[in-house]
Amino acid sequence: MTRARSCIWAVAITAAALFGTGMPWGPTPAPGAAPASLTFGLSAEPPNLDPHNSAGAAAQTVKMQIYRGLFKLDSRGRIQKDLVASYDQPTPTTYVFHLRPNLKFSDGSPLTAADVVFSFERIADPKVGAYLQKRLAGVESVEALDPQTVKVTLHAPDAVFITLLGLPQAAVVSKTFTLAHNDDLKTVTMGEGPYVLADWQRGVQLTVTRNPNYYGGAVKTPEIRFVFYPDDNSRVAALESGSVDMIEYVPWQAITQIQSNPQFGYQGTDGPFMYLVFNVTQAPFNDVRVRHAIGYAIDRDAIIKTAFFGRGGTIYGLPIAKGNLAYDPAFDHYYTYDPAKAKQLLAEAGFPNGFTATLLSTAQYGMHKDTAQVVQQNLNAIGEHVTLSLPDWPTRVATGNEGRYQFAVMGTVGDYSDPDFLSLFLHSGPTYYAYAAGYNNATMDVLLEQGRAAMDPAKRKSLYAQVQRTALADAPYIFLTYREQGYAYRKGLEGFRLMPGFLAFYSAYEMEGFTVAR
Amino acid sequence: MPMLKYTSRRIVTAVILLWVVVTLVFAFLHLLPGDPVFIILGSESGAQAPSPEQVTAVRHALGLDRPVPVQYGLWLGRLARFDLGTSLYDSTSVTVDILARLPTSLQLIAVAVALAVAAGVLLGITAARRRGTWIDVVLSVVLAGGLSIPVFVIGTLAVLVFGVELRWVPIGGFVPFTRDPAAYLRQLALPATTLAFSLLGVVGRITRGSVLEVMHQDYVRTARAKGAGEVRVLVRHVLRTALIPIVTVVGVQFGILIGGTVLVEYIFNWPGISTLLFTAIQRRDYPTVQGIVLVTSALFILINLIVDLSYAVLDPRIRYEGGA
Repeated sequence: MTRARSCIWAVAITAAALFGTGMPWGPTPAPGAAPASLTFGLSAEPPNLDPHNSAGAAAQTVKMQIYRGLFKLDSRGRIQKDLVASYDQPTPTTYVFHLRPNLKFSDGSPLTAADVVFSFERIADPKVGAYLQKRLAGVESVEALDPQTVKVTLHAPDAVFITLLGLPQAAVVSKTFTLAHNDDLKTVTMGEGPYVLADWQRGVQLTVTRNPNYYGGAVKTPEIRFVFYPDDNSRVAALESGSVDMIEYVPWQAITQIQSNPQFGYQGTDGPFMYLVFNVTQAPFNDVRVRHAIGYAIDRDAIIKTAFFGRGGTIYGLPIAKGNLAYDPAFDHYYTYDPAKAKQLLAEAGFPNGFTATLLSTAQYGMHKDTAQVVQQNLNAIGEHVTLSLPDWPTRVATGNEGRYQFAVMGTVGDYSDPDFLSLFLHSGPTYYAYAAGYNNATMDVLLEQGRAAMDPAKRKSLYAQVQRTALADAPYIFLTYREQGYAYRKGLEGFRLMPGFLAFYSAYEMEGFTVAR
Repeated sequence: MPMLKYTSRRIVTAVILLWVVVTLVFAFLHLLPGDPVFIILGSESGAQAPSPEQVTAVRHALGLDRPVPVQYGLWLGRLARFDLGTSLYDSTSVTVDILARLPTSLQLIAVAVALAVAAGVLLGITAARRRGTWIDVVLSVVLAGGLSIPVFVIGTLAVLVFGVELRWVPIGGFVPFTRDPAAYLRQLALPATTLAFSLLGVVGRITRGSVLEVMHQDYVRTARAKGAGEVRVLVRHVLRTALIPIVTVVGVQFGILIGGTVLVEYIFNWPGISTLLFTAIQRRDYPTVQGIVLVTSALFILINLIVDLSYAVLDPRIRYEGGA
């Protein structure tokens, strides 16, 4: 064989090997699938599918189709019964839940009280790393009175207990299935929700199909394809080119162009918020006057314009919005944008020539970095000396967890709209990057605990009014802005209703009700 | 058999080199600040802090509470059994993850390199033969463009023009070649061309330079004087010699691209090894990062070996001595 021919053979064999290999992924609908399916552009690939863990909003959207819990949130963001048919509360610390009859998991096996008990135990097990482990630590005992009835006893009355059970991270899992899989639900699922996991092509997409054993009956859309688009521009391009029917996490710079396009619909709301977190044990931020000064020194509108392309709202007090039980307009304008006043407060605190500090943030997320840059500019403009530290996210988290910072930028969202969410930030506890290092106010702790244990709305409102007053006076945080969170979809998609405020991330709870006209 | 001896010595060196690389990566990874346990427990989402018992329990379950030298020893032990471990995030085998994603990257790189070499060599030869003319100028500008315009700019523009405006190609989604070759090729077209355009610049300029050097050698003039046609002169005489630096560059580029195609894979949603590596680093998924670095380093070393061996094929004057 001549050299040339053997070369050609070598190339041919290599090409065959190259293009014929790769994992034989499962049955794939070709792009442009059966008309009845819905294609959803996710902003990230779910790292895993364990319903008790929290792995990001994108993962949550998928899990909400597969798993359900005792309660859920409806499209207005109100708590509704889901697996529970009815419940009684014989004492302030006892709940008796009656499950719906004939509940089944997707493989047809019955869903009974034993599974509910098992799910509570699993959440409480530290090595599972369940998101709600700490929050449900007030559960003293869970027992199955009969296959349809579960009795839960709490240590103390808890105004948010039912709300917690409505969060997606409180899903009910199958005891037999979970134990058979070594307690590892990361890549295998057995749910009771409207859909089942059909196929997961790593790095590409994840498909769910109708669950024939869903108690809510046949769902309108037989299949949902979640395609992963981590790149913002590609996600928007996918919607505009018709490759997907709907996307989440619409990048702020694209919102206006989508809204003005008659082919698409957009629904967005202010939900998550950005804030400054202080290490109150170290100079210069161990002086509350300095922290107050910062509250006056930051131009919130500039942050919204720069980091969020104008899509957001200012916060001059606390992130408690209208509609929240504890909302009081009196707290809305605790601060104003007043650099002169800030300078004056700083002079009184002993920094007439400015303080020196490093602002911790991350270069990995544009919105964090941009917010940090505006804050730095605002402060340096009034004579302070602020430098930025912008490591990657895991480093930023580690630095925060160790309390090795002076002040830092953070962004997050409340898990639910009850004012108790403030307790995460204001109750004393171990150092965590999202909370003010060293903040410890015993009066505040008592107020928060009382607020959570009180069942009477009027009493709670007055308790949380005190909480807010104290929080504003202590200023372990300066809250900056809300940012808009939106979904965009092609016209013809019916049944989608954005949930309000913090709950915007749960808006995909009712995807079984979506239909797309073609 | 001097070639065989040469090759076996190279393989032994390669194994040692690999061990050094993965040890360095292991060390750096564990020195990096950033704790995978907190990321696993949901630092990206929601404000609820994990409890201290959870942190301890999860750290123990993942084996991350053992001293680093012990973890290193255990990892080497698994390596000896060809076990790359499991991902910290979803307990899937790292080997399975890599085997699923590596071929797609290699396919992308192979096609892009093939396109870049074909176009680059052609353009380079044309520019060399027409040196000084306006054709040379135009081609050199095009090649410079490929070299200097960042690949993510080309990629995003390509998505906009061919995906959104013209709708010639779908955006995202992926079908393996064995399942639907036509759809696969349509998806591959844009990322491969984008990557090829970036490589084109390097290949084209090297070709132009190399051909220019060889074109005026005596043996080329002799061939022409003997009446050989232009194409024959080009292929049999000029290219054979000019190819050596081109092959070197292509080999190096190919090696760099394995694990280096992050931007193209990210923009076009091409499920390759680079985006897997990128995500794993972001999340401090130690076993996955270590596994991918090991595999891509091995491939890089293998490609270099092939390139070196190919010199002997291309230039009969080069022969490797056993003792060299």
